[in-house]
Amino acid sequence: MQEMKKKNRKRMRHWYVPFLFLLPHLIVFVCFNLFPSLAGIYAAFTKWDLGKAPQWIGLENLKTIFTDQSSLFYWELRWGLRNTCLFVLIAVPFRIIVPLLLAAALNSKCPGYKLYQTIFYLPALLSLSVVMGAWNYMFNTNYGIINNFLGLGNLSWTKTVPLNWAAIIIITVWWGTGSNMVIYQAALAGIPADILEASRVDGANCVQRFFRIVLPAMKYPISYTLAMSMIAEFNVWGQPGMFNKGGPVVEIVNGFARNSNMMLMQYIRDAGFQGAYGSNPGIASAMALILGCIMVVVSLIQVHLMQKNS
Amino acid sequence: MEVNFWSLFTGDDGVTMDAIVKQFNDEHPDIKVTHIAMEATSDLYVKLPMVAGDDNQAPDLAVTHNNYIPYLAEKGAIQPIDPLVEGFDNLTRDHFNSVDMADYDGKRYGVILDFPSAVVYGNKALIEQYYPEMIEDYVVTWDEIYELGDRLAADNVIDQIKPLVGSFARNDVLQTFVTQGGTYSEDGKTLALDKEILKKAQGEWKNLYDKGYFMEEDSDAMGMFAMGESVFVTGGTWNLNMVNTYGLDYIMLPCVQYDTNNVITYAAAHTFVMPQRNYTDEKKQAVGEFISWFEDHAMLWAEAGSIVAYKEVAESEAFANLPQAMVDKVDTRHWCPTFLYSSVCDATISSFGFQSVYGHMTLDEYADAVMSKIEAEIEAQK
Repeated sequence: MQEMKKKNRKRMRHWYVPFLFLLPHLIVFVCFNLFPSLAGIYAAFTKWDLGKAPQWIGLENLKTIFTDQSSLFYWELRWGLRNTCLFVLIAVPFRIIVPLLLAAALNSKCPGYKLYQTIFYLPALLSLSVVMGAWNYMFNTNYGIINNFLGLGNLSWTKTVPLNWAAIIIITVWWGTGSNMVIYQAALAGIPADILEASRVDGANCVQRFFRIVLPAMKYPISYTLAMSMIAEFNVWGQPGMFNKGGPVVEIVNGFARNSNMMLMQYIRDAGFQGAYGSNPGIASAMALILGCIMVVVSLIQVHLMQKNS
Repeated sequence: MEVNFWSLFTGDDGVTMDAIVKQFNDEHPDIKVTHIAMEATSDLYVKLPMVAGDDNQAPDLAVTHNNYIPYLAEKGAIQPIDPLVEGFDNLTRDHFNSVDMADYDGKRYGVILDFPSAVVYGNKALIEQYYPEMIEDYVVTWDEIYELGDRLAADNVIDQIKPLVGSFARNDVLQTFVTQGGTYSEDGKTLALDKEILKKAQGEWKNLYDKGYFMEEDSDAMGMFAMGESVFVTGGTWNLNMVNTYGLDYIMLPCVQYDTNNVITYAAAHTFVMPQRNYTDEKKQAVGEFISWFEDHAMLWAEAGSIVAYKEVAESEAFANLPQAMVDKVDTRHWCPTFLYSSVCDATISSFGFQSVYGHMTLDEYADAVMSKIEAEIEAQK
């Protein structure tokens, strides 16, 4: 008893030690995540031009983007959300399935698998501008390898719907495959070989082994990559922005033009930080707040499912 | 004395400006100019209002487009430039072409470096082959472009060679807009964009396309010109270095015109401006010294492809030997609409590009949608 009390006292004396280890990350988190997030939430309730001090206007920005049909931002929120959700729904499954299949293939340790692993991972190391530069050349109308190889003449990949969607998703999956693939590879390596061997002895074929043993063993990494990929794709703006600047006009509503590939993050950036239009961070933050709330809800559902699975 | 200098010169222009700044620093050991280049619309024009009035963060000197002067002045990001140019004889108004482009509200806000003008590059061999007379007066008109198209069609090469292709949709539409007398505002403060002229401006390109005389959507216009697949390509003076690498015998002329007696090129002039902050007398002297020296050495800037505003250089024999001097061979007026919200108009017209040329919307829809967006963006700023 005496011994335990002593230990507890000692532990209490050093209660701050774990926090010291956490401190470096905590400082970075507070400065670059927490504080900007809180400032962004505050900005959503202000009228601000980045120059003069923000002016508190309460729920006015939210009222505008939710109810004022005469406002451009009302439509931009809807169009942006619709396109972003569509993009997430299409791109995320590919961002899970493609790396999973590649990881499974590499796990068979075929000849030269290390080289393939490097090749598959390489795009993840490239910056967005390098990726877009390369793919823009490949999809180039006149001289692009894709049009020439497939004999498509002067087909415009950037302006033809739905080809522009397909192109943006191909680019996104290609760029994001490597990072998910290495997570799956690590998980696959962690599956005990004797279980797989036993199933083989019992007569299970490779498809049965994959669905009955491999996949259940990878629930956690798949849930994790699903959550991360969804968060990343909800924030998409660079690929459509640098591929076709939002694409062709496909609809006129209330006098405003809707472009085929404009994502919510592009509208947010244009509204808030595009000097040409005059900065309006209040409205931009209000739209970002909505997107943030959706991402929080989606993440909470996924965390709940992960906990349930574990 | 340190001079913190922000500009929008990235790319080749940035390299040239760095070299000029280095030369100035070498010749002036008591002044150290530090040049920081940043992207214009999403960086420079956002940051300048944010740091205004903060002596620790605001630069001592900046270069912006002249059409952003009203916006930056109203945001309190810049101030009239007179205190910086006082006492420098070569910086008085009479030393500059189109000096009023940098004025706002009756005050001088800038010293103009150059006019990055909308031009056309012509393939001399193809011009010689199909329509040599068209460049005799150093001006290309729309009628001549259509006539050139007819000749190419008559020769059955119109599918292989276009008379004109466009490399920069925003400038292409804006140049046809301003050459038809279009403007954004009469008083500089109230929107008065003529929708009919805007429609005509977009309509001109649509007409050219519908006749088969313009490139397909999303084509690489500069690439087509380089490969001899077009006689003319639209561009700007900033494309000069790139065009030089094509190995073509070319001519640079003002953008396509309607009236040979009233030649106008769309150009948002690069302009030294004075950021909003406090200046000591020594700092003012150092900044003024740099601007004055720069204009005296404007030939260095011209050699990189610019049409400089400083008359002493623009009217010199050395400048006359440069390719871009052909743009000023006639009495060319470099101009862009100046309006408190001209940046909004430019950006909106830019974002719509050639949408109705390629059939994504009708001309009426185009004009209405452009107007709606401009009005909404202006309203949001109020």
